[in-house]
Amino acid sequence: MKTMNWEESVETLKKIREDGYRKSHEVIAIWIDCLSHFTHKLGDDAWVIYEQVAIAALDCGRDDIAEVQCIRKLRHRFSSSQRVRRLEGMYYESKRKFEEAREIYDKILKADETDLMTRKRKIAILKAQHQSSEAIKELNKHLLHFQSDYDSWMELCDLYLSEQDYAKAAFCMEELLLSNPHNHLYYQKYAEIKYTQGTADNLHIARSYFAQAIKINPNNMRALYGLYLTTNTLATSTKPKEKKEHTKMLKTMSWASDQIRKKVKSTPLPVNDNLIDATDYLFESLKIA
Amino acid sequence: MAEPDLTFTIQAYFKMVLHAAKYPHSLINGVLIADKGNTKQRKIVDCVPLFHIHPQLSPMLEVALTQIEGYCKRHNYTMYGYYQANELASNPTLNPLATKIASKIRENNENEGILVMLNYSAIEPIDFDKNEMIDVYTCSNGQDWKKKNENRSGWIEKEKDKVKLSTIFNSLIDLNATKWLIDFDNHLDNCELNWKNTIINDNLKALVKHNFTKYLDTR
Amino acid sequence: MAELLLDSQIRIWVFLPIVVITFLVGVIRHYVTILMSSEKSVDLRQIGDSQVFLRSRALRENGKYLPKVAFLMRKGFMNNQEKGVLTTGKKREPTSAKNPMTDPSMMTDMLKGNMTNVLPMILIGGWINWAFSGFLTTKAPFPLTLRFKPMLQRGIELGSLDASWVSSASWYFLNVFGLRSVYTLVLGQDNAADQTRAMQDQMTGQAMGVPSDPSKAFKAEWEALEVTEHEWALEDVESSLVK
Repeated sequence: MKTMNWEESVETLKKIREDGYRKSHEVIAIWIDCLSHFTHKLGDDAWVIYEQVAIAALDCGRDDIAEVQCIRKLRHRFSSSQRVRRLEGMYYESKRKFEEAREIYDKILKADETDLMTRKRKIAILKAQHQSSEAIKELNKHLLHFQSDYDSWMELCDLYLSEQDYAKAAFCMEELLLSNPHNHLYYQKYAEIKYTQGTADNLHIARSYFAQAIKINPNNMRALYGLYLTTNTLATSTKPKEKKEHTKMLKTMSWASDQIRKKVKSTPLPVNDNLIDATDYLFESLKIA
Repeated sequence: MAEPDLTFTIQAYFKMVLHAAKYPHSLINGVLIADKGNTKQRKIVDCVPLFHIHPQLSPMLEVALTQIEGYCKRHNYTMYGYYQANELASNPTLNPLATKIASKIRENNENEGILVMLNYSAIEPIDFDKNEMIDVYTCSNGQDWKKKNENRSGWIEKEKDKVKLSTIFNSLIDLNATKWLIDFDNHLDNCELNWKNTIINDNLKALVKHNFTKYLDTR
Repeated sequence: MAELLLDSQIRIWVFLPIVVITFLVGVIRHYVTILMSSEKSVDLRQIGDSQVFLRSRALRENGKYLPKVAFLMRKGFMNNQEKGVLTTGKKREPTSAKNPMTDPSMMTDMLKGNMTNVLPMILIGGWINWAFSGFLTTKAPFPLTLRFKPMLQRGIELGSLDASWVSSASWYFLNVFGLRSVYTLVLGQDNAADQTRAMQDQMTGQAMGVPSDPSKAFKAEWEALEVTEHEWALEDVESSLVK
């Protein structure tokens, strides 16, 4: 990694913070290589950075950085802050001392029952203890109070998927679509869930939602493959009398496969010749007589 | 004592490990590829890392499996197994997703196949030479998968005992090799990335051949 | 049009002082806000209500992107005759209302907000207008259309004057907005000197804020949702894609 000066480091950390990426190794590397030596230059930004580095350190198992270099400083400066308390709770979580963490979170919530982040930490504990059904129950309760908490809807979707409850996962994706109807990834994930559910109705829905994802972002490979697979599955199962529909599906299939071929063929040869062969094989094996 | 009729090459094994190391907080899975030839002594020669983003959804799985099937046919390989590392290291047990996909792969391979679950402690330091961190499962009736091994070492073909697995792993970490590991999800995000992982393959070969003194520095 | 030249004294005594004053006032406001800020206590129910409104609004505006069944299911959840969330909200007693005129904590919050933001702006704007009236302060380096004249030439009633010329009062307001990035540099992020953020907060506050009579708000939302019909936006998406 190229060495950055401290201003570039601050900017990079800010971007990671604002975009919500989980790039814990990178944050720690930046801290160790650069920022830990420049804390005196950070001004008031230092506290937010300490928090960010502490969380990244907990993610990477670096207790020394988390507790010694960051949390201690935050505790000293903001001794009565609930936000620092919550960070301490996360420290206990990383050590798998879940009862201690829960105690801290319960205390925070007693003082302020509307603290969203702390409520979610309690559900995270259930997840860490592999209690998925409890976590789902609590998350549903949480969402009754916070019906527009889209991060929670996303988390609930993933929990339902891990339990293979596709119908409920689809419901969660619908909430996310309502929150942002211009995000191609939401359409694509929703369509994938519908495809996995499998019935003809769901496949028809998947078809339209894959198409919409492609309309918003013509480079979405998953949506292109998805559209191809969906129309392929529908075409092999449509009855002969619905000829118009059948022709329409073949047309879509051929369009999607052309788009995919174009994108794969534009990759550099000969290293990637296996990719072109593989895509050709896919279309060959799924060909409709 | 590990079963002598099944071994993993260094290439197959370390690509699995790198895949898990690249995405420590996700469930990751992939396909194991074996040589078609010797049916008595199965050698897992390679693996194709598949997903780290919602692996429970079927469309991309269907695309990936079909494409890998084509790749195997071309090179006289066979899709012999499936590997998975769960989201929680504290829970390395089988789940319905693993058995479903592994059964499907097994069915397509004349009812022969294995399921590998990565099993490592999140807290203790890893010693590859004592603990190869994999549990191998087989299935005799198409439904129930049973663990084949009692301990977790001896699976990896170590090139006549010349190499130490921990040395290889440390070299890979120095090379920042997780950055170069490409899974099917990466390929879907960017078509130019190849799930064959030629860069890692070549580096592993160079590392082993020159006894860890030379490698292709493609940082 | 003849070139106008400004006395260089204007630069020393008007142009720069206005910049310095605006900046210093912003910094002072930042620290005063920190000293005076009180804990805003919102209770769970209020948040729950405002989130319901947000969700209902999202349903009304973006429901057309969902399949019909999904939309109708949610509309039913909100508006159902007996158990709908909005329906029960409508029937809620308005007695627990927080009337801003009678609730003391809300009053003090409003007062503090007004004092730290609006009052200094009015005072200083007025003082500048009084002290530095009747002449031009600076000229924008690029030509502007006549539409900008009332904005940039507060206090100067010259019809034929080029719109690029800026009066002192307008220069003050330009500074208030322009020094935002300077505040970020000096005070770090999330500083209270940033008035535009305060205004943004006011606007989101209106979306999140609890009206004095929740049942009226629920009724309005219920009616708005009731009349929303579902027109699927993805009807022809495939045909428009695969031409």
